[in-house]
Amino acid sequence: MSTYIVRRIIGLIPVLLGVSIVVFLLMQLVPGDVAQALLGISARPEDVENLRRSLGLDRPIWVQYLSWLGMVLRGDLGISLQQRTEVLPFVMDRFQNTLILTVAATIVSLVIGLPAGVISATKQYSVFDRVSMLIALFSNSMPAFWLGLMAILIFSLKLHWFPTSGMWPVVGERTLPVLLSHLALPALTLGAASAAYTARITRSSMLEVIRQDYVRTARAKGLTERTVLARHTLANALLPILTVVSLQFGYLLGGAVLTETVFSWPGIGLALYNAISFRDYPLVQGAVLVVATSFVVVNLLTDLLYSFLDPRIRYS
Amino acid sequence: MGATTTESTNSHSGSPPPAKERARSAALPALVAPQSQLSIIWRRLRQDAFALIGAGIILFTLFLAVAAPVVAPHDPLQQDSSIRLAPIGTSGHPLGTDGNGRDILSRLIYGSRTALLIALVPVAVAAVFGIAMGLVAGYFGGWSDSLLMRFSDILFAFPAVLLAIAIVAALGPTLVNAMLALAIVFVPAFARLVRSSVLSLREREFVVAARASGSPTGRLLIRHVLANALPTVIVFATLQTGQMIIFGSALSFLGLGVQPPTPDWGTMSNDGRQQMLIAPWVTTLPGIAIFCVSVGFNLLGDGLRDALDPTLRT
Repeated sequence: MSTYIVRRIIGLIPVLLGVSIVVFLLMQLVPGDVAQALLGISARPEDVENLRRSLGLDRPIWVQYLSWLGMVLRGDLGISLQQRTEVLPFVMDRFQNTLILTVAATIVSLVIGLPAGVISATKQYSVFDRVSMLIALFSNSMPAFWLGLMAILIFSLKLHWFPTSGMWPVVGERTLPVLLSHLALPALTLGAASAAYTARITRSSMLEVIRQDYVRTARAKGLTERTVLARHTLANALLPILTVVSLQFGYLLGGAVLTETVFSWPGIGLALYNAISFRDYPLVQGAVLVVATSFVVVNLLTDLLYSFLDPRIRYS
Repeated sequence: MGATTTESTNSHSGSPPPAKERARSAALPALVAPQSQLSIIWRRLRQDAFALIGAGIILFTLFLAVAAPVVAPHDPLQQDSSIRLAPIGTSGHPLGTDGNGRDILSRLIYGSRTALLIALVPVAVAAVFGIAMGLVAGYFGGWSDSLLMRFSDILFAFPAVLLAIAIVAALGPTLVNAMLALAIVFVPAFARLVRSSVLSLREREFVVAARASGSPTGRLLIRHVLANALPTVIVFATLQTGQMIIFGSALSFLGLGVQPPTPDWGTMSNDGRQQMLIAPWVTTLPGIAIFCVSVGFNLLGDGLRDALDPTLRT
């Protein structure tokens, strides 16, 4: 197991290097001169030239990349133009809030999606199955930003059940119930499409297992339906579900940009959105790098968990 | 679409299909007479009410997009300060007006153009490049395969929406850049899909036979390999279009896609945010439009998948 873990971690290095190249090249895509873009159109030419030299933009591109990578590895992602602070501490601080939101959305996704998928599979072609799969299709077809706006309209503006935006009230205590009341709508919005996907995958994964011989054998042995379902069917169906849920986590990190913008949730997505409107390229770069890296790490953890649950994977 | 072979992609490798499906496939003449795969798919699709509803929605949207100048009651850009935020059912403006007094129905009808454009163009571009890369990587293997896999590993390390947002942020927010970004993000998915079908098709008898009979590689790749991988790609592309409608409108909603005042469902949703309490229809209606078209593509995509391989039915 430990050699497998080491092998997988070493395998990450080229991917992370690739990610860093993509993030670096992204900023090379900015039309025109980066120094000019940073200083604005009204800047004096000599200031632009000085900044070019101090940023090292007059050097060959691969030299620029290597020196940038060196800084990144030392945890230096530059200074945010908008926040006037170092990018990394700022991004990590915001990232915590995004994690709270994505974990809550994942819980929403599992709590709704998993039982719905299991019941649909055990009662295939029943009314419950058809209705829940139709709901799944519908919520998969709904733009998250719109769902969020509708949630605000109905549950905040009309019914006053939840606050419209933010993570904490401007004044007042910062207690868990307060946090949860702010978290409810964004988490449901972000988790809805994911719940739909989880339900569909759970259903099809369960259906595949239900048809296996060992399930028929378990039934033939006279085990109760509950035991067959829990010990033989769900336990074996969980592996593909696990993969999908972890991939969904990355999807949620991306979707968080929209949900956070709609709900003004102070996470990395809202920071990215503001940074883009402000043309704060160091912050854009830092935010993208941190999200992509965390996605890669989550995928690694899933693979490791997967191989822990199913030893066959380690040896193939 | 001259598939020269009658090979069906139905593998039936697992358990036998349900009785209903067995009865249906027994009734299919495909088992006795050669019949192209596409006509089998069409025959199954015709019996799927949901898929037909989906196809109907798509055709209706296409019609609106093409016939917008004829169908729309007003100029979508014409502002009228005397009728700002008119509610649904106002005479002359059946779906009301927005904060600038523009007719929402007309803007929704014109908005179908950018909605389809920002979804169909990236899917088409990603499909073309993905097919080419997947065919080469899957058929020839070797370094081209390693290159594709590493390239897609790296792009898959980014959440799709985030990468698209980052690319547009760098290139500058325009409709063309948004389409380009979405296309780039979805190339690896198409390439990997094609690659995996090619890997299994490569060793099939009819491909081996065509190779043995001296068929030129290009012809073999297109007429034997691609022709048999295509239905899977079509299903995937249809489902992707449903998602791309949402991604595209999301980029526009964030101000990174279609730019105002061009009528677009994403930007329209954003326009209405400030007046949501007094004029909820301004934000609500464009979202419903996005939802309907996305449902249309998803229904058709699910139907196509079931028609292609009933064993995959979910």
